[in-house]
Amino acid sequence: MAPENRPEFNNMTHQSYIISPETGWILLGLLSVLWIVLGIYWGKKAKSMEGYMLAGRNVGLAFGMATVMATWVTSNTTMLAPQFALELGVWGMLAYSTGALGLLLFAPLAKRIRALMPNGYTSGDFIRLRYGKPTWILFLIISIFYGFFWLISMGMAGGILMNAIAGIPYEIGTAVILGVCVTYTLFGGLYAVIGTDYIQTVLIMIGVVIIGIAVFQAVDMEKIYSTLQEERPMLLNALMPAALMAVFNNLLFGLGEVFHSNVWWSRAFAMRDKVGKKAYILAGFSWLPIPVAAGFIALASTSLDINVTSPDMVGPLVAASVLGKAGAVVVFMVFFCSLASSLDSLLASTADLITEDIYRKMINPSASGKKLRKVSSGIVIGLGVVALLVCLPRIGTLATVLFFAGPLVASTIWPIATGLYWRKANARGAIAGMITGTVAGLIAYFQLGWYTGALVGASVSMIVVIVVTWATPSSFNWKTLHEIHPEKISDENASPKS
Amino acid sequence: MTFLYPNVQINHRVIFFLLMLMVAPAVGAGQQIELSSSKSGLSRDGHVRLQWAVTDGSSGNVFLVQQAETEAFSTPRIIYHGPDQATFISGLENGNYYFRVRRENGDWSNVMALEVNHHSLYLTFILLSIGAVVFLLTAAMVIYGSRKSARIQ
Repeated sequence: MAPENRPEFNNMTHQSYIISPETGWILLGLLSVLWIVLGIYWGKKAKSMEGYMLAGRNVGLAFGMATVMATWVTSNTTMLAPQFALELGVWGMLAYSTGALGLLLFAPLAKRIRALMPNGYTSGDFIRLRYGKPTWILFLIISIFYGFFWLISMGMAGGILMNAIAGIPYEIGTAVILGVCVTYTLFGGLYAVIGTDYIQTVLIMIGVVIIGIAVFQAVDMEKIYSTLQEERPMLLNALMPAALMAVFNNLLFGLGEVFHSNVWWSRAFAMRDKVGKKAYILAGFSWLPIPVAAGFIALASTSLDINVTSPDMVGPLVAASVLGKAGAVVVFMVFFCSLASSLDSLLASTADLITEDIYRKMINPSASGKKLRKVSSGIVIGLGVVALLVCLPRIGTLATVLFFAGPLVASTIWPIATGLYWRKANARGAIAGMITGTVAGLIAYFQLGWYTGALVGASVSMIVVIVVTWATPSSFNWKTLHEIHPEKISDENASPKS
Repeated sequence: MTFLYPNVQINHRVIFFLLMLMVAPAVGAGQQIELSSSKSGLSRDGHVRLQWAVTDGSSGNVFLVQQAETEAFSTPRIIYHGPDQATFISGLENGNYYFRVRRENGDWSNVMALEVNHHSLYLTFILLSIGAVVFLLTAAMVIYGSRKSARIQ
């Protein structure tokens, strides 16, 4: 059929799509209603601020593992891992899977965090109590900047996904997915986030198995190899420079993301005692095969003769093409779930960080739990609106947008890790490490490529933290971290003594 | 040349430039597709995204994209044939590449030249080694710190 007569032709990105916009809208509507209803249902459990922010600190192993895994299976896994494979080949695919080490190495940290700060709320709390106000402000700038870039990359991914599969305009797709996640996070807080994450994990796992089997049956391994060898030879080259650089860059970016972000700290605080370590280890191993599978399907795109108009669209395009129209529904569902499960977590944790660390600590220390929840809701809405506005111009590919934050987060690895384990670590080392690491990493990002920013940032930060700490050691009293939240004190005073 | 104001001189190069501006639209009239790329002539990672736009406002076309290793397109390879108006190319080895696009039976677009020059292996292995050392030291510190704190508890 001549292209001009084809009913399914997307004139925004000029990419042919798989299901009709009508089917896309129906799916989008059903999934949106499902998550909002479930979010409101689970949100009824959140009676206090501690319930809203930390799900009552009572999350068990199954829900704990599911929420960690679902949050890490973000658009970055399902859409960025295939982009890595398409741009950087086999090494790119393996580079992305090193992200599992972020969760695995955070497992002992989760245990330590829970032991040191049984009443903690945010990662900002730790930095403030451990290093003092100047380091805390610098950390908040980095953490909020990163959270916002992650949010943008996922909003963009939502728009790209719906456009690639169903031809729904990019702007509308982005607005809908942000709107849905803002709505149910608003009503349910972390209870809603963890509850929906659990179902989303189950759906993602089922979907990934279906897609994996379908792709494996549809492609001929020998053909994939010979087509790549002929048309994209560097993707099979074991010495591809950018791909080799990306291995440790991605690993260190993943470590930086997990070590510093309140998304992971809030889960460490929310899980029951002794659950955190196991949950993070199980989630890390469960996540490991997903980017490998997602990356593999991108390598198959050449032999399947699929034209990729933008590298971040390759994952959903190949999966949907192989599965056909009926299977595209599965693909749509899996990708929507992977996006929603991370967007909600990020909205909730960033809002917590701003509410707790900026509003309560800096602006209104005597705010009641009710007032804090109101402020937190306003921040969730504000984040959604601002993210949408930044997403609309589609400033770059997912990789370039997300990895711009790489130098910043990688420079926090050593200040966080030494802060948790090394009594001599101090504010001078932490500040110097974060600033020099960020600056050096950003220079590498622009001069060498996005696949070097986090690597250089983490390396410089590590050296500076070690040198400054040895030169000017301090002796920290770990008990300083045992801070009790004012709302908890008032709750304890108000409840009758047994 | 002296204009109304005796002190104002107009250089002959300025006149040539103004004449070229007037003639330019007529020169480009035959070219109806504009090809652009995501890289400004140099790629350090072997990939590039090509995008093209139809400048005469018509729609519904089938496009043909060619890639060659010489500017004369002596041994071209068709890398895309279809309705999309962008394509992503990756896995290119070191070398010079040239791209052009046309509608079926139409005129060729402008030629996009791309030099692929991967980073040196020397720099690669330095960064790889640094990354490995940073990761191993971080992992060692976390594992050692966890064991030590568990013993103390």
